[in-house]
Amino acid sequence: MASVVSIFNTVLTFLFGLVYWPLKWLGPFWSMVAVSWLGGMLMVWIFGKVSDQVAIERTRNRLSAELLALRLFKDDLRIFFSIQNQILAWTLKYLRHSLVPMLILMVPTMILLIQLNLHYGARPLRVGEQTLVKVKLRDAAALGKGSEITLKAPESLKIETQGVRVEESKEVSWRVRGASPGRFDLTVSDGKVSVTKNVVVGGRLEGVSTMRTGEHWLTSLLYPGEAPIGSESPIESIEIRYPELDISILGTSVNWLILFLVFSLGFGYAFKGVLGVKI
Amino acid sequence: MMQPGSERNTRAKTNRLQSAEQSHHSQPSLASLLLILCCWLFGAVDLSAANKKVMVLGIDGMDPKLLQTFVDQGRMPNFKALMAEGDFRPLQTTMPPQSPVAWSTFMTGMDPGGHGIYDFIHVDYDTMAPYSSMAKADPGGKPVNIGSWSFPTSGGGVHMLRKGTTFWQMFGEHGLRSTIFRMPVNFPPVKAPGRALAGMGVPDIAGTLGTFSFYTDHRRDWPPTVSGGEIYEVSVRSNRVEGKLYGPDNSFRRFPTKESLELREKGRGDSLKYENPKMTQDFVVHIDPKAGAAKFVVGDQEFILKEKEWSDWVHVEFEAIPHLISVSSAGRFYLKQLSPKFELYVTPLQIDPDDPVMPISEPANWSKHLCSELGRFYTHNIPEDAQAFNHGVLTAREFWDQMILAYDERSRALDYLLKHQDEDFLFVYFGTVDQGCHMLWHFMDREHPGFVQDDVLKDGIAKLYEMLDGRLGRVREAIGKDTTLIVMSDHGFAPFYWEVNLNTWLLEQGFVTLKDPSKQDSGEPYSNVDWSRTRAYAAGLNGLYINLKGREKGGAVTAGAEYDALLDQLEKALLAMKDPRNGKSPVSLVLRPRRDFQGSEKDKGPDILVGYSRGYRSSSDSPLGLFPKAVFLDNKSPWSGDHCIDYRLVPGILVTNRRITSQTPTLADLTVSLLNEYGIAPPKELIGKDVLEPKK
Repeated sequence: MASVVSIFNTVLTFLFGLVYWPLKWLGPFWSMVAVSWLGGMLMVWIFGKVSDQVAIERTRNRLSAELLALRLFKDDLRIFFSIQNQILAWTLKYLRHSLVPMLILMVPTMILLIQLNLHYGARPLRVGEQTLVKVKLRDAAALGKGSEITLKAPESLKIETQGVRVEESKEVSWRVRGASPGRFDLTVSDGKVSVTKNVVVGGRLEGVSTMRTGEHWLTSLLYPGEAPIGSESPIESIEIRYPELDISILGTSVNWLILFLVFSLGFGYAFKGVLGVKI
Repeated sequence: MMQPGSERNTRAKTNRLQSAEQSHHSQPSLASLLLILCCWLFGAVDLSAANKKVMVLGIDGMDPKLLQTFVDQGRMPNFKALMAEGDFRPLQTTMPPQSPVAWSTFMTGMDPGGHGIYDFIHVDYDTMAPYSSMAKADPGGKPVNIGSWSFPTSGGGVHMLRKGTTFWQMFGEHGLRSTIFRMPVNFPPVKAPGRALAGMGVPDIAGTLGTFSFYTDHRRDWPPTVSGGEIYEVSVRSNRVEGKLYGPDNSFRRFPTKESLELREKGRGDSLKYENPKMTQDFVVHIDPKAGAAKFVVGDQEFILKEKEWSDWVHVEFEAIPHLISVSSAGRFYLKQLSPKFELYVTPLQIDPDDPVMPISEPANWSKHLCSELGRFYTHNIPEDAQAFNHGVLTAREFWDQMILAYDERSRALDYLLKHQDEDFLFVYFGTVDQGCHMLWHFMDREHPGFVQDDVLKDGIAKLYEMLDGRLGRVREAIGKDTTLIVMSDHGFAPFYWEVNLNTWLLEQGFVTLKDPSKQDSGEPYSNVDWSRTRAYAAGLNGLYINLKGREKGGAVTAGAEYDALLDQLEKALLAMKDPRNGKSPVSLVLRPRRDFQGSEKDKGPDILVGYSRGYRSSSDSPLGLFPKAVFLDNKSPWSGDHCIDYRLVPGILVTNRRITSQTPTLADLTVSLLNEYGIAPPKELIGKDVLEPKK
């Protein structure tokens, strides 16, 4: 399962990277607008393909008719309440027709969000900026046995402290500072097995992998930026505490997820007619 | 040049111009150009003035004698060059020569009688409690209380207590734009075209002028209370320390006070009194003795510090209502010691410039913009934590390191402002020299009672001067040839050898009567004073007040002849005061604001201002209303240099690339000179005169 997820992640990250590459030059906000437009259009198109469009149109028409009837017969209480029942019934039918497509849509949406998190969840370190490298071990005993967990870095990354061990959370952490721009590999080792972790310093909207995780399919799916760590390693995960990417609108920072949801829904609704999709 | 009359007539027009300008910061639109043209036709804007640039580098506490000494030693080449290019004079400061007072005079052109700032603190005549003279918080609307929850019907605020119009507001009225970086006593910043960041006077997140936190597992080694900070007990268990950071009072929660609950239990009171709890943020420290370092977890942030290391700025979020309302702040952590004692210092938590809960800049989002360009920075009152040094929480070297951190921040800001210098006027403030002279004097002065031999810090003050010289060099490189450059300070410095307990002296002279003389040096400030038999008291560093009927709640002296006679008596007695230990006269000047000052605020401050002789200064206890046993004491605290004395003894500096026409220029003169640089006629309430020779 893990290898399937790994291949899936590699292919998807490559494809998303291809689409995203020309957009990243637009900067955080406008690239988010462009991605939201693409995402919104894609979701509407998928919705059109997986839903019963005829039934949705029929239900919507019927709902419109019932709403019109409500205005016409507002003075006749018996008919008025009867129409209310009809509206409720048709609304439930509308929800039934939408529910399954919505559930299907959740899958591509989640995949898209995971990919977006890779690009908008955090930003690369600036030159001179420090961060924490946190290594989580599978077994707390590895910290106490005298077996040394070590961290090695290229010259462009400066390791400023010895590893600080926290037994209760089975982790060792180091403070690392970016000395020059580029993509580098840190190497964590217990003396027998070594695991690398990619670190990005500088650059414009580079996708950054905040965590390299173990082979569990769910964590692998959530952190697609790097191949999962093999189960033979005593290391469960390596995390880099990158700073959050700041996307500002009129001087106010807005979380990328909120921006994406608002813009993609807006674009999807605005362009549904162009795609001939009934929502 | 505009005449004063026409200036008032056109103020409304220029205000409209400011509004237009404020909404279009970067590029002048066609409409604004047309407006400027119209205003010029009607005389509101002097376009020749608009082309002029002036920069003022404000260096708090730079002393003319020390400056001349270091220049003569060849340590300050840039100052020397500027002096050669233009001029250098001592700059007469204000009485009292305290920073809030002096900077207020510089920015308004009025003495304390005009701007109303007489000290760092003023006295509430009803409660006799001191409060910040610079700004006051306004409470929110009456709350709606539901159980332990409380919902204010309107938000609170804060307002500045200084009176008068600043020179950059006057610039704005003439279509000029200014950048004012950390001007003291400008909180909240006044509205004027351009940009401003508030400086001295900005509270920390808890609303004080700076309260540090110190966490130790050896609480018993420290006094129960220390001024300017809180010391908290923590324990180290399994290499883990848990603690709390304390924020402002949570106005959305209320709990009965312990006292009212106890009274109720004893059946001595029916109604409960409520108080707002402080907002808190938990933190955890994981110690790794082998690594000689610790990992900190503060909210969702994690960072590592080695022993004796300062952290970068740490964002601290306090939740008032979970997930709905929070207050953003920032602090720096210093891991003083891991073992055998655990000791952690945290700076006063600052108003976060990235998300300010109070207005610290104008326009409001400028602090956020600066934050995005420069990273987080100190925002509160005075960054250098002299109180922590005074109480031994920070050593001299640690204090020095903190001073350099603050200085580096200012330096980066100066570089940024010089690079983006697109306004007509630029003011940049440095406070490093002032704090350095306060806290490092006893390292360079062998006569000081608190002299300490330290081969590095004996040269500390000189090093600070050199650093500022480097900054001046950067400024001179960056500004244009036609820019008028002024380097000035608000006051100079003197040694602080001996403390004077003025309240104790008043007690000994019979002006104060205590309810219980056996408890003279204990209890809360003024709590032991028998106000019905007290005629005068001291409050603030230079202030002496008559206990006046109709003003003080327990007033005992009648206005008129009795008041005047008492002032005469006090003035005579103060000037005759002798230090029995050495025969010196501790007081060399007595001023009476009502007699000696001008302006509408001259009867709002102390009745007498006491000017101490060189070497003397008020103690730290007396200004707050305490009565220590001895009148005179040797000062052995690290706070070893000072300037709150006779103003004639501690002038500031004026160095400029222009000729100075007066031998004795004053701070108020400088205000008028700045206005004249742009051809603006000074309003009549300004007391100074132009002291800069017109540029040829």
